[in-house]
Amino acid sequence: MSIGADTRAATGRSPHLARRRLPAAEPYFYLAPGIALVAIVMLVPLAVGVSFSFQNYVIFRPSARGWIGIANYVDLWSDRTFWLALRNTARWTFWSVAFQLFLGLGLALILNRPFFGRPIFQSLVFLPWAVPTFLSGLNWQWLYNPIVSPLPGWLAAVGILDEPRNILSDPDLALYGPITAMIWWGIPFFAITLLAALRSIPQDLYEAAAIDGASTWQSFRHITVPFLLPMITITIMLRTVWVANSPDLIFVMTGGGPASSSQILPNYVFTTAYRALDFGYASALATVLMVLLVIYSVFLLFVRGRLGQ
Amino acid sequence: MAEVSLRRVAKRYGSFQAVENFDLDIAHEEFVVFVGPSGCGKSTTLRMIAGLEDISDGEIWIGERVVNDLPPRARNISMVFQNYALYPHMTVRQSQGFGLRMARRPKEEIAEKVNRATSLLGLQGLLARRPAALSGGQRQRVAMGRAIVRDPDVFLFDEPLSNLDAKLRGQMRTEIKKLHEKVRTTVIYVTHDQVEAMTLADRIVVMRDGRIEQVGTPYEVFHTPASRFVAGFIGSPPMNLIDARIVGDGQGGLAVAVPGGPALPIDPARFVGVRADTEVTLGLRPESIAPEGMGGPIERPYGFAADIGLVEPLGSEALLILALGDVEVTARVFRPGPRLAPEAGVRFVIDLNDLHLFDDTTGRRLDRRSE
Ligand SMILES: Nc1ncnc2c1ncn2[C@@H]1O[C@H](COP(=O)(O)OP(=O)(O)OP(=O)(O)O)[C@@H](O)[C@H]1O
Ligand SMILES: [Mg+2]
Repeated sequence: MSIGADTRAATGRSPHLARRRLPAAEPYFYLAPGIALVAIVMLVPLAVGVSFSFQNYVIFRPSARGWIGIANYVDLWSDRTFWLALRNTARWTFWSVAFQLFLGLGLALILNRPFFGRPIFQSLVFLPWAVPTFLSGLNWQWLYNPIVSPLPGWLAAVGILDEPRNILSDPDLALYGPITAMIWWGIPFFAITLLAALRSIPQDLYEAAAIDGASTWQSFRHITVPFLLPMITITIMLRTVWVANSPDLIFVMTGGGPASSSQILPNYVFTTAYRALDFGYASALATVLMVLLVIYSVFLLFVRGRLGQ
Repeated sequence: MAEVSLRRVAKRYGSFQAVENFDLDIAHEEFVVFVGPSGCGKSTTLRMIAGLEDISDGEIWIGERVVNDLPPRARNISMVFQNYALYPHMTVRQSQGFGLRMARRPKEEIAEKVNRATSLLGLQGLLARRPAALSGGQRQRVAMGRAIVRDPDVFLFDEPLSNLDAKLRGQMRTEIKKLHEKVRTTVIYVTHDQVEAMTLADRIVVMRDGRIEQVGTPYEVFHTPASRFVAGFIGSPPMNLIDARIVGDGQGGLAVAVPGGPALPIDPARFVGVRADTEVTLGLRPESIAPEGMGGPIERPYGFAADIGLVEPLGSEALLILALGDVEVTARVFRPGPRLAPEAGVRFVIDLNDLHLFDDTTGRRLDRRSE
């Protein structure tokens, strides 16, 4: 009870060591439940998934299951469908995200200045986001059907197509069907985030720039762009990972066809796992996609860090 | 050379008249201060001159040009904003040179002008920093540097010191004044602080509800306020304004009677239009009332006895709250002794040459000098 109870004189030994170690470890005790939860919910399934890729794991051949090292990855190297799907994934992601960015940025810039009917226009712009992907996939599939939709006719009229036909059944063009649907569906995401970023730019900076003699283009270039860049990079990163991992529009509109020509990696993973029932190989495909996306994200975050200086 | 002229300038927001009938000629290199209470239209007027706000009516001239339809960048002006509006993503060096870079000036010229502004404002050592790493006073300086670098015809300041603490505000006030001595340019400076207005201005424009109440040198505005409003606004502590009545003094002259108190004789040569039995507002500066023997030189003393109700010592001076008839007035005593205390029946003197009379209804000054 007395103040001197745990001094050296009272206990007869030095409390220093125990005292010093405990505070250093203390935060980790508090964090432990959180870390455990994250590990159980996220890391364990990830590790299990990745471990499948080093196994021969075909559902209808349970007796053959076992560790096979990197054999799945070796197969993958000579799998032409894999390389096609990888190229398609890059194409799909690049065009989708690039157009979403520019159209979304344009919309955000328009919506950032007042005009008559802006509130109505604004809610219309954000509408696609509320449409379920499957529904919009079906819609766009119909839009590309020359029998029910004028769109192929228009495309032929402006010279993009030689005749009004369904691009979804053309191996060279099929992927652009889902890409347009993805662009349409994803613009609002860019528009919303960039509009929020635009609104956070203090108005008096534009006034100061105007007085400093900056033209409209110069204030866009020297005020708007620097303010938007961090938001743009983070949105691009999010959307890239998201789009690269989204098989649903392609699944609905082309089913990856004709003849795998519009297959992207997630579709290929899906068909390998649930049609061929080869979980081992599917895991190897998924792991490759994941590693590529992680490298890409780290690179973008690095760029963003440089921008922030 | 840049004179600035405003001709019957007005600003309307819908049906709300923020500025009306604003007429002013500002000379080359003059330092003009707009002062007035919050919401009286000072910033609006300044922003119209800058081109940040459309002009609803009238004309604004800068130099030889009507600038009504010119964008800010074509007016060759600089502005220092109340919150500085520094570009957060640029270093001090970059933001100082921003205007010149936008005008595509040669690199050597930009470097030279930035260096000149830097040494003028003592910004050496801060050039590589961003605004987030600067103190309030330093930001203020950077904002001024950015304005100077461009050699504008006219400098506009919108309450540049109001975000600083009292001590720094005093220092920066002095610096701005010194700066104007070095960089002779036309300056229009907005503030609601009458001390800033008095100390900085060549001429003060007192505004109220979107109109000019008085234009004059600090001396004129202080010693011959054109209206009751100006009298109450300029001067600290403010002038005592008393609802009083003009009466005959029994010998053919006139006097102004304080309710329940003395009737102060007035000079008929000065207040020519004043007639007996009219209501007026009597204005008495606190420094023209003092206990006998404690005041400064008084030209026409008038003695009376009053009770001191309260003493507010301020160090080099003290404010006395005393009862003059039925009204409380403030007197100001310089170099007060240590024993000033509330006390009854103290002898005071008023300087009768320092009376101000204002029309009861219009609030205008009743004085030959103002006619
Ligand atoms: N965009 C606007 N729409 C409507 N009224 C406005 C607008 N901007 C300013 N006002 C009004 O115009 C009047 C003058 O505003 P102004 O900003 O010029 O005042 P001020 O004298 O600078 O005041 P302060 O000392 O508080 O800065 C105010 O009553 C204000 O409410
Ligand atoms: Mg203002």
